[in-house]
Amino acid sequence: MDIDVEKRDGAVVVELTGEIVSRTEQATISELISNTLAEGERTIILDLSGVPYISSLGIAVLVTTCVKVDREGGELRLVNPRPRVSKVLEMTKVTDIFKAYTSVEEAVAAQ
Amino acid sequence: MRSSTVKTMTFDLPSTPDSVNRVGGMLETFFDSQGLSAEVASDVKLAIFEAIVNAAEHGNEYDQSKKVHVTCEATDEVLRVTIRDEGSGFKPDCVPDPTLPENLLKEGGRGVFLMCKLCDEVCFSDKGNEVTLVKHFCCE
Repeated sequence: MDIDVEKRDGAVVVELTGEIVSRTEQATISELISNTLAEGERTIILDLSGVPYISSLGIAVLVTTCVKVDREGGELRLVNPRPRVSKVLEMTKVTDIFKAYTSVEEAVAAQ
Repeated sequence: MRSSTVKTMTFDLPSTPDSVNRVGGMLETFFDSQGLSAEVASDVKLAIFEAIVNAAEHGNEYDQSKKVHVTCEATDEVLRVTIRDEGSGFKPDCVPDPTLPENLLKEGGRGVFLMCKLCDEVCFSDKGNEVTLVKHFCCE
């Protein structure tokens, strides 16, 4: 999995590319989010358009990220989950937890 | 007319946090050779991933001396995949429903749920260290 991080208009945009199916990927994302929050950032945008596939571990890291960011008074925004990712999110009924947008630009502008 | 022979693929995996990353391409090749649709193949692959992660982590507790054993059997209409670990087993009935409101924000507990949603049958051995996933399909 590849990760690109960019600061844009007060938000941190994290572009994820590749599957999120193992503990290794889960830990990588979790560490990145913790570091980002520790730096004082509070608006985190996860661009999922490059994620073809997600397992329960991927859902877990999204949920825990949402909880962590919310606890710090921030907000997590998801961008453009692919159909297979959306299917799993819907199946596990966690879609209502997240704010989802169709593009990074829309997610950044939402603040 | 298609043959009704059973095609089999078996492999063992180390009990590591990233063992699941090693099998995606192999499974896709096997599914493709059996004519599974992309949708069915995707569903089954995810269910297998969930079972492998559980076996390596909860079953074998990442003990490097223990393996995760996977057997895939496919006929023209049915795919049957067995994932076995070398641990002491667990009771799948004790896993709470992750879609209940009180469980939605919990980190874990969705693996077995997804297996059951994505497959037609999910059977655990009495000991609880082996799960068989069954998916019926029509070839494309």
